[in-house]
Amino acid sequence: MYHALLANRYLTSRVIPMVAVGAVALCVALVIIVVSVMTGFLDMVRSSGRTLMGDVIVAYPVNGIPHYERLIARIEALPEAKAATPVVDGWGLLRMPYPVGRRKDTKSVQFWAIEPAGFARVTGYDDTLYWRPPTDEVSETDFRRELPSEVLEPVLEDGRTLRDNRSGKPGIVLGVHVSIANERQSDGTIRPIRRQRGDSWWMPGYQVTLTAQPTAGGTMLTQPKSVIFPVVNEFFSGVYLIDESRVMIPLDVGQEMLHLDEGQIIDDQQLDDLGMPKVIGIDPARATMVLVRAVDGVDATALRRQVETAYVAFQQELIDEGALVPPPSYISGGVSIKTWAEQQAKFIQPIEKERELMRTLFSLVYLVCAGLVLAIFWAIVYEKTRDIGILRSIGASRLGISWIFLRYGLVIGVGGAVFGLGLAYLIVRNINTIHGAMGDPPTELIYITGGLALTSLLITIVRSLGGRLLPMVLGVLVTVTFALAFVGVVMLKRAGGVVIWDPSVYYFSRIPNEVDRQAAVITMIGAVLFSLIGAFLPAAQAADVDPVKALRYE
Amino acid sequence: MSEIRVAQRPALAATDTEPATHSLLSAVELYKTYQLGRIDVPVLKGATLHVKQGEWVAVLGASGSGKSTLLHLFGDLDQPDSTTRKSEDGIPISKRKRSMRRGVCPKCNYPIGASAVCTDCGYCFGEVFFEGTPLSSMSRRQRDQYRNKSVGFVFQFYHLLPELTVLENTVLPGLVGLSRWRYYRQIGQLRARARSVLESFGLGPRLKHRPRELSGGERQRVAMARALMNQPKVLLADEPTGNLDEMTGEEILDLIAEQHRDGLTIVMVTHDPAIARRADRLVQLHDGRIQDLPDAHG
Ligand SMILES: Nc1ncnc2c1ncn2[C@@H]1O[C@H](COP(=O)(O)OP(=O)(O)OP(=O)(O)O)[C@@H](O)[C@H]1O
Ligand SMILES: [Mg+2]
Repeated sequence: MYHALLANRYLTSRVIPMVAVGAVALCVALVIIVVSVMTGFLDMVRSSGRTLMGDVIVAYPVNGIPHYERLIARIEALPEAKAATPVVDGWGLLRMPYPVGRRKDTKSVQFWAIEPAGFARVTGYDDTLYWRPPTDEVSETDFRRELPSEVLEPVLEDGRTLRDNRSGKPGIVLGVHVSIANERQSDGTIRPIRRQRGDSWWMPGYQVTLTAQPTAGGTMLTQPKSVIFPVVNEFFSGVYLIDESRVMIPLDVGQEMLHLDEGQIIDDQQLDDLGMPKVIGIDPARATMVLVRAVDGVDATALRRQVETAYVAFQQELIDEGALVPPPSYISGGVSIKTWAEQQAKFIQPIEKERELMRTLFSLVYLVCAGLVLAIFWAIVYEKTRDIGILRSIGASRLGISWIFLRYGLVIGVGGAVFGLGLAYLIVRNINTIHGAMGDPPTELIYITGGLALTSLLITIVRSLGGRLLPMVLGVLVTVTFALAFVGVVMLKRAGGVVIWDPSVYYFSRIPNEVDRQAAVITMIGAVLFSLIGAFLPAAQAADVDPVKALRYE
Repeated sequence: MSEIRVAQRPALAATDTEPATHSLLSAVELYKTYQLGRIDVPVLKGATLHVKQGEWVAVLGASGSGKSTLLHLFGDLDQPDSTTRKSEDGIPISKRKRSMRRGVCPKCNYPIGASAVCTDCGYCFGEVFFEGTPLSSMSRRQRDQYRNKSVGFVFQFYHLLPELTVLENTVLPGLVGLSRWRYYRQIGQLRARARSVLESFGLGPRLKHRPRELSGGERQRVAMARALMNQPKVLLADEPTGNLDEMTGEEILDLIAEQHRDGLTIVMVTHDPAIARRADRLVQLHDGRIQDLPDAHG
């Protein structure tokens, strides 16, 4: 039991072990932070798939799938599927209401024509609608607090139905970054910039014009179609690429714009009673995509297999019925049925690889732990040789002596791991705030760092009056550190802050802030283990100390 | 080059080693050679000393004569050549140890019990005996216990642990070898014992102090308290007054004398004949061997 006493005393009676605990903590925190952010990033990519597109996507671009309602009915009958919904997607030009004057901005956008109710059942559409009465969690500075709920409530309802419910006209919902008038605040909220005349460029309240070039049919040259929409709401999915380029319109309007709506099939060679070309059948409306949501707990891949079977049966059924316009064949017709992850594989896989690389690279940190503990203990064993001799002379065994140092290593490892976890937790949880502060350093920080620098300068001057060198050197070091921090903050402020997590690069507008538990546990165990390994050598060295040599001289 | 003679010495009378079985602590024919680079430096060359129960023996000798070396062998801090160096009789150390444990002569297998000398062929071990048992026949654990319980060391330079308080330094031998479970049951008892020893040495008000806050005499008294903590049978003192002025030295000697009166066996090393005179018996280490000196009181 003397081990505990001595390990304890050696630990608390000097600064180096504290430095070691700090260093191990920093290493552990570093690994946990990096892996957590990357894991969170991957999770966000995965869950955003569900939010945006559901679990499985049946796609037949450009021409679209006819009789899609029957496909949807079939899919919804599957026990694995919760809901399915049609989408028509295409590209178009959006004429924005700004700037003031005759020449308006235009922007190229991807439009999705949807049935909002069904779409919301498959995706997280409803939750992404941004303009809604604020909840209690919404911050005081949020722009939504400046709008009366008499305004926001109908806006939310309009967004849900994709309709301007006062005029009854079909509405459009823009991605929140489609309009450049929407500015992201450092707290992550959106605030439209002010117009010169006072009110702001808040999109719900303006009209935009969407122009699309129908491409279906192929042979016929068609006129571009333009539709004026009232903006009824905006959505904020958190995926920057989507928020910046996608708009939602009602399904029927989209089908019409792309000529994918129901039409008549006419035969030029035959004339009807009125002398017009004869109608020989109906060309059904089409959807370029059918999105499917899995029942909770069902794996997307399993669902995809069922959807494939359902599609094949659906197609066969229509051929058997002798439909004039049968759906394309799954095997040879260019229809794709994929899970969201498969659709995004090119995007997800490199991130996964990168995370593994990071994990491996940062595992080198363990070696740092081991090396640190080794070096420090080596020094301590050297310094404590005489103590070891004394302990041997009063009957301590060699094993007992080495146990002091192993125990000591254990304490440093465990202490470092725990502090590291705490540090990592604090940083990861507040990473968006920290990042925001870097982008827009608060003015108080200038006063704080400046004040600290001045205070430590004064203390240094007073302390160095005593003529001792160590306090002076220490004081100067601390003062310089604070002064550098001060200068850094001032420069940051003048440069307008730095933005490391640029949403247009990193896809998401928020940095993930969940601690990866598995990574945390593994990292902590690693730190403890390697601290112990680092302690082994000095411990063995301590056990080998020759008591006579250790005791011979003062 | 000196030769290492642990080999047979027919001239040695059996009576020379016989007392090893009757004495509390014995050194029989100890050889100890240090190696300085390639050169052998023989320090002990067949030192024999028997210490009886309750005796206070002072070992005198010039500086460098090997007094500390002898004491370290007594205290099992170091081992004699017989157990560490290959001897010229060609018998491997492992065989010697094995034979010793079995109580037979390693050369002729004649049963010799715990004796250091074979009465048949005259083969002689260089060995330290405690209560008739050769130290080299003990296991590691037994030897750790021997150092912990049977002997207590006092050094010239006190050798206290600087990070521990006076009380903790004193309790330390009690803690060594104590399991966690026994620790919780016995720590109170151990502290009380340490405190009472320290108080009897006049250190009552100093229990929470660190060694660096004490005077030399006080430090040596703490070292004494530590040595006596586990109530050893023998106190091994290596120039216990060597670093103290005369007055303080006398105080330490008074403490030792008091312990001696209570029955403690003491081996004290010194080069000062004045100090040595307080012992029952004086011996001198000269040329690596022990010589008797005229009795201090006679
Ligand atoms: N590890 C060692 N290596 C080489 N020589 C050593 C070693 N230890 C001791 N010696 C030598 O052995 C001799 C005896 O040393 P020892 O300390 O036993 O003498 P001592 O009688 O105690 O002397 P003092 O009165 O000065 O304490 C000395 O000459 C010393 O130099
Ligand atoms: Mg000496």
